[in-house]
Amino acid sequence: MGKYITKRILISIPLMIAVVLVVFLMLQVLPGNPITVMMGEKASPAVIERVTEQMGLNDPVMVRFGRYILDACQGDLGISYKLNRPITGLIMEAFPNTVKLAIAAALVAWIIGIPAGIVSAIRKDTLLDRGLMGFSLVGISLPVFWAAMLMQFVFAYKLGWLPVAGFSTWKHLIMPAFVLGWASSGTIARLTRSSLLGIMRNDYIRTARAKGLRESLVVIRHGLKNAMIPVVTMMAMQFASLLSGAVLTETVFGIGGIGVLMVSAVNDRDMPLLQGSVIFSTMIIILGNLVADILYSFLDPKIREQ
Amino acid sequence: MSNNDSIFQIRGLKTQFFTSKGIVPAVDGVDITVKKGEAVGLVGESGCGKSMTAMSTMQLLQYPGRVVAGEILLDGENLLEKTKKEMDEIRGNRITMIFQEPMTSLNPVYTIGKQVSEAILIHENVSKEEAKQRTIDIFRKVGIPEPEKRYNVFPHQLSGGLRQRVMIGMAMVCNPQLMIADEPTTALDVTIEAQILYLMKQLQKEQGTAVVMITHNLGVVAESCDYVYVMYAGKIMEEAPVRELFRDPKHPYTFGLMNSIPKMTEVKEHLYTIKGLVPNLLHLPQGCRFCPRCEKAMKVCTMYEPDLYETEDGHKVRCFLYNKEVMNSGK
Repeated sequence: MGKYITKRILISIPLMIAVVLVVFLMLQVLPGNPITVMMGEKASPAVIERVTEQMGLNDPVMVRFGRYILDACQGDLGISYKLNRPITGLIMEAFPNTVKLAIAAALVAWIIGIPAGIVSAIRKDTLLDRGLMGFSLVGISLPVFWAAMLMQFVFAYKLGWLPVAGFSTWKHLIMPAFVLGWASSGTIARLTRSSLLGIMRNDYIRTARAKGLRESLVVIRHGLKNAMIPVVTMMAMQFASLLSGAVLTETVFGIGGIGVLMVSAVNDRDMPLLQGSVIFSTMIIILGNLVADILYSFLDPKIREQ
Repeated sequence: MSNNDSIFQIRGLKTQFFTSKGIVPAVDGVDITVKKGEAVGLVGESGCGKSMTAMSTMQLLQYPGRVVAGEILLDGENLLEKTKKEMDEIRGNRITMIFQEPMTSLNPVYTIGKQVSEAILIHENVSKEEAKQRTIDIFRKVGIPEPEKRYNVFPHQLSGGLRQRVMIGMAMVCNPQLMIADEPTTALDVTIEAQILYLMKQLQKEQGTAVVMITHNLGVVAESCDYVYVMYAGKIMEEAPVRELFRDPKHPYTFGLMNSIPKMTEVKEHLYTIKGLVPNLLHLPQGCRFCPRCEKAMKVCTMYEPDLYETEDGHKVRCFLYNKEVMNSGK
């Protein structure tokens, strides 16, 4: 198993470098001079020329990329043009908010999604199954911003139970976590259901029944452990994508997370900040996939053996 | 046949499938008796209801199948009157089952040791260590080399033959009164088949377990059974002690089955086949259900269904050829 994990980690390293390169090059081809953005429209051409030279922006692309990646490895993602502060610091300020939201949303998704999927599979084709699957389909289909605004209207404005927006107490977390979690729980519920239904048709389920195992234990011990293999992968990937920032939800609820940071970087044409936050998010996704693959090996002995 | 030494009896079992196209009578009034420590064969073509008889006994029928009539007696207790919980206690403990597909019948994510000891832990109040020890003992008994090491091995690391040995171990570990083996060797090589049959026979003798051997292979029956039931389209067509049946098959269907086995001692251009196809259970022919394929069919066969008639040498045959009244009246 150690070999498998080492292999997976080693594969991720070139992937990360490739991602940084792609993001870096994409922002190179964008039109507009970053120095003008930084200095304002009225700066004299001579000053712009001097600053460009000072910042090393006249160097060839590959030299700049090499410099960027060396700095990035040491945790230095450069300085934001607009805010004039280190980007690493800005990301580290925003990240805890995103982490809190991601954990809360993932918990909502798992606590609703997995049991709903199991119940749906066991009570296949009943009213309960249809109801649960309908609920999850609505969660997947509803645009998050619309669901968010609807909830704000009902729970904050009409009923006054929860704060409309902002991010200071746990009460602020409830609505955004539910909005994000509902969408993810739908995917998890449907995947759990179909996976478990497929597994329950296997011969070894018949063997477990023939052994005299109670039906509930047949499902939990013999069905679920097999059925969870694809679900765990999905869970890890969803969690990673939540950690990389929920742009819409963070914006609607005014949560200062990675998503909001990225949006403001785009609005301000703050290229280093955009580059830094996009790279950070991508790293999180890659790490999430890595964790999913490692978890996978714990569930499936065939992979563990490789 | 209500002998006191019978451990397992099926009486008038009817199992039907309620499909959208109609009711399929998969098992249509089957009677089977198994004596203590005896091995009984249940032979027939695919789809004749052998496996459904077994699944009805285990009460593991899947929707839309249901037992609609009959009794299944284990040691005098009717299993069809048991609650779900009582059946859970009987299944895997007093009646166990081995299946056709050793490659897929074990759960891929648990070690084989854990899967076998689970069967002990469900039914007996023993410690985990004791269950483990007993599992290792049964592994040794069913001929799994290095049982201590193999305890922690996953199913995909074993060959089909070894997996079937694990299944047999799982079925024997609680000392069942009856073991149902549903085509246990069909998926295995011939050499492994012989080993597995020998092993089952040995265990059966040692532990005194009665066995119902479900198979389409008459060779397996000849090798491992004491008494045989031949089944066709949901009904028993002929039953006899195994030597009797092979010496003198009476029912035209049994006769056909025997003749379609190639023999080393005869040179033939073509192998004998029973003409026609197994009837669709939704549209059974009137009269005897084998009649459309029977070479000896008479007029009466197309009109009435024969009963099981007992012959002098201990056969029971569902065929008018062995009903004296019919034969004497010249219909």
